[in-house]
Amino acid sequence: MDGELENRNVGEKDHSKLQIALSSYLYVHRKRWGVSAFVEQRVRVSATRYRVPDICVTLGEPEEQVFAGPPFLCIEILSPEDRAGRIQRKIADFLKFGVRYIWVIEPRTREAFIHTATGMHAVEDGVLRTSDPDIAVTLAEILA
Amino acid sequence: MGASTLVPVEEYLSTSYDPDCDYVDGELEDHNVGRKSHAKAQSNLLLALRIHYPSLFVVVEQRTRVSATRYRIPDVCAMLAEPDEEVFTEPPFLCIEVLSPDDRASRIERKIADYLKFGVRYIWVIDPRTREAFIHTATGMRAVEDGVLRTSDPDIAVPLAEILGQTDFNNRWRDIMDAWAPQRLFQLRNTCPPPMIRTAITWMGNWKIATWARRITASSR
Repeated sequence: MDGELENRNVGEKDHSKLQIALSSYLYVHRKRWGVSAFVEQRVRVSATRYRVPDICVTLGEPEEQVFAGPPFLCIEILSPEDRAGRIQRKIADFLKFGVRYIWVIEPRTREAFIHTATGMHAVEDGVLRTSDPDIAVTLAEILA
Repeated sequence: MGASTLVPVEEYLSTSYDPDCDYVDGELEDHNVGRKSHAKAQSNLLLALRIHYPSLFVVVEQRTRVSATRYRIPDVCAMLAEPDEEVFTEPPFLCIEVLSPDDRASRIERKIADYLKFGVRYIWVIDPRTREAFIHTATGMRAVEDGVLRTSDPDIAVPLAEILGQTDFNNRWRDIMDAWAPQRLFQLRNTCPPPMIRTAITWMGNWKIATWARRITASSR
């Protein structure tokens, strides 16, 4: 982050459990949706900023080791220690970089939010979605 | 939101909490207030909006019913006209949230989603610690990169530095006022410049007094 290292709040059970469940779900369905899922992948969002989303999903598989193009979907799993400013900054970086969908999931309260370049909303029907490709992940299934 | 006994909405509406709480589906959600950086940003926002945009109705800590079961209290909110009701039931034009170091990401995400769904046109999220700000609208969010918080229709522009006190807002405002104070202008007039310049200075002084009067009237509404 502009020469500074920003700590990420990982290492908690709820966080790891959801990260594994969600990445496994995406891996199992990767062929159907034509996507690849990566956990803790470095993404260069600008000349001076690298971000590491909890999970990122690309259309097909990029050649490079550190992604320089915007993933289709970035997923952030919140920990109780995650502060609002850090997540706001991360979402703004992803959107500016051209990430089409950002899912923010709070395992503790079982809530989720979807950000796109055209706005954000809370997930009210319990299903995290994208369009083109149509990915749909039921929150109850991955938070079981 | 922690697990707790649900509070009926009637009880929430008839109770004064100190500080006031958001009401979210029967649960009370605390505000992280009380820190200087929060209070300073909040009061500077109120002052800046009231002084520079007197046609707006700007308030702090106003209960706003965003849905049948949710009441939110933005740190600052601005309406295009003064509503008649005590608890707002119509979406403000602008809601502002000033972050505290203890503010959890999920609480702010939920709050922003509530405001957008309710129809709030602009949401400014300001982090005094990192001096960053973010603007949310129904058509997306972005970080403030030019240091100016903005809205359109009406056009509002508030420099972040004025809010966060890079140059102390009150002192700066006093300096500007001093520099342009009518008595200074009248003193200048009394140095007996040519008649046309004297007339111009008198007009400027009168205009200054009229502007002050308008601002004071608007900000005391």
